[in-house]
Amino acid sequence: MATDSTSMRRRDRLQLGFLVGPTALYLLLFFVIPLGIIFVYSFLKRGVYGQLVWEFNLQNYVRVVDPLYLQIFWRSAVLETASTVGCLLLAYPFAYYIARRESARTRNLLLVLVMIPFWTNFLIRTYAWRVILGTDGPINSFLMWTGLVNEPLTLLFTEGAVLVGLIYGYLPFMVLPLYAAIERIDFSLMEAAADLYANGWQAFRKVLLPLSMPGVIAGCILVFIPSLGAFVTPDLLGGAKTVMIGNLIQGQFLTARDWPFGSAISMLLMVAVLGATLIYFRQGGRTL
Amino acid sequence: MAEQPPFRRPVNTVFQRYALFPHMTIWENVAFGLRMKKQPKDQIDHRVEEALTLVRLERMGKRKPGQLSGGQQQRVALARALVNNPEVLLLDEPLGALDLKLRQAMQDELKRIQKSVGITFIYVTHDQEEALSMSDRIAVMNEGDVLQVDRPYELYEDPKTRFVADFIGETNFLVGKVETNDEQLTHVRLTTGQLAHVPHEEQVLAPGTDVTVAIRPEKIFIGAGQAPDLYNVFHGRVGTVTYLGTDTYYDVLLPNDVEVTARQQNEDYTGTAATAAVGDEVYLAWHAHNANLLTE
Repeated sequence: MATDSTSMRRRDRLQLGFLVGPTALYLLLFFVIPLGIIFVYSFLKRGVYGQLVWEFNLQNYVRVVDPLYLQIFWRSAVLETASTVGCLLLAYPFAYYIARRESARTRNLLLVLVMIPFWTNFLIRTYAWRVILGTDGPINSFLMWTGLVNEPLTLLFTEGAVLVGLIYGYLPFMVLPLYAAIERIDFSLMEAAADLYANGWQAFRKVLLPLSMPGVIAGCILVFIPSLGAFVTPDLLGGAKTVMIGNLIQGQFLTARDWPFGSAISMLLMVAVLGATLIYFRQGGRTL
Repeated sequence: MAEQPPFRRPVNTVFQRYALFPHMTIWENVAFGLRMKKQPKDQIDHRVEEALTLVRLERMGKRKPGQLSGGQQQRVALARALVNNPEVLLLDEPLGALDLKLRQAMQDELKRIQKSVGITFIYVTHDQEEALSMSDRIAVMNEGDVLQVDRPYELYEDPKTRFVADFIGETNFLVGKVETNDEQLTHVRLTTGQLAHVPHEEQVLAPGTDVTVAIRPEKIFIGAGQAPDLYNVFHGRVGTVTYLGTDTYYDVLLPNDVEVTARQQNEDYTGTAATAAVGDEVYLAWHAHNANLLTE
């Protein structure tokens, strides 16, 4: 018996190694180690020519408190929250509509339609928005043609343009988890709510929304976190005026060549996201 | 009531698979309707307690539906509907998801609750026995039409259509034409060539009308030897014998390959399982008032 159980244990360990090993190794090499490097960099100093000076200090973290940067953080937080809420408001009715289709073919077709944009490069799609929102773009042309405006509106290089771009880019990440959550719900519950005098809004508030909450939360996390690091969209649609955290970090590494400061912002951003996620899971986030 | 849209009618429903809200406690489930109607809080508390006591779940209020057994969930569904004091309670195959034992226990429970609240229950079921045992009155529906509404025994003993006779219980259908009528009986020439005698229905049918004589298997006397002195006596040959413990079924062949099933209770075991064996000549006999004359 003793040998049996030890051999079992060895097999378990072997299996564990095979199943988890590749992923663990990959993450160690390309995630944990780089992260460690960034962590160490964040305590170093920038040399005159942008090189790293190995001199331990906390100056990078102190610099972050500068109003200039705080303003960027604030703008980022507002834009990302707005884009998450925007995605949620747009995606929920759509996901509901898909989930309520009776034929599996229709549902799959609609889901494929959601994913089709991924077939085109994100950069190209974002450039397309520059054309759409531009001074000579279709929106302005149309407005001029109808006579609603006399001269083209400034749509591009505004916070609004960045918001539109972010919502556009991350909408599918909201639709898919919402669809998965809503599709699982037994719709006789809605009939029961109606039988018990709930109107449409009450049935949604008391039954559908709470039951689809896992999808709402998964979708919000999938949209909010990647949009934190977004730099392509604000760069192409927001121009120099609408700098977000992603652009700030990118600029520190590529333009200003201040790797220690860029590292420090990255670390702070990561701690903030991690903290927010942990708080969520502590506060009854058991549904996920 | 028919003039009001469905959601305004004072009707509540017990759904087929209960449709309890899984994210709410039992108490919240039962309180849902009252809360939607914005009843005062102390009244909600009081009525929910009352409803839970009625279905004997007063201690389960804090649990979630997933923590309850099927029968308990069924009772929650009942309490959730009854708490609103509807004039009519609609139960859509409420016991369909339960196993046989629990079903029977719940049937008794439902009857008890119905008596104590005194609300009309409309009980949808495909189980004929359940329909007969649970109901004061039964409506038999086919493809959206109500065919007959009657007390259970009237429905069984005096079905008005072939569908109803066939749907509730087992029946033999003997096809024929009306030959003559006297004061009480219609005489029907069956396709077997024999004459059957059946009481009139409301209308006396003219000679030549196509009719069906319906007779239940358990109302037929069967035996070898001397037939009893009844209006309806037929002779035939036993085709199959099916022994079922409490009863035995005899399929008897009449002339022209017309098969009639007779059911006999096995009240006296005489060393063989059956009164007659396959191939035996037997008589079939029944009281005229036990047969029904059907025109459709």
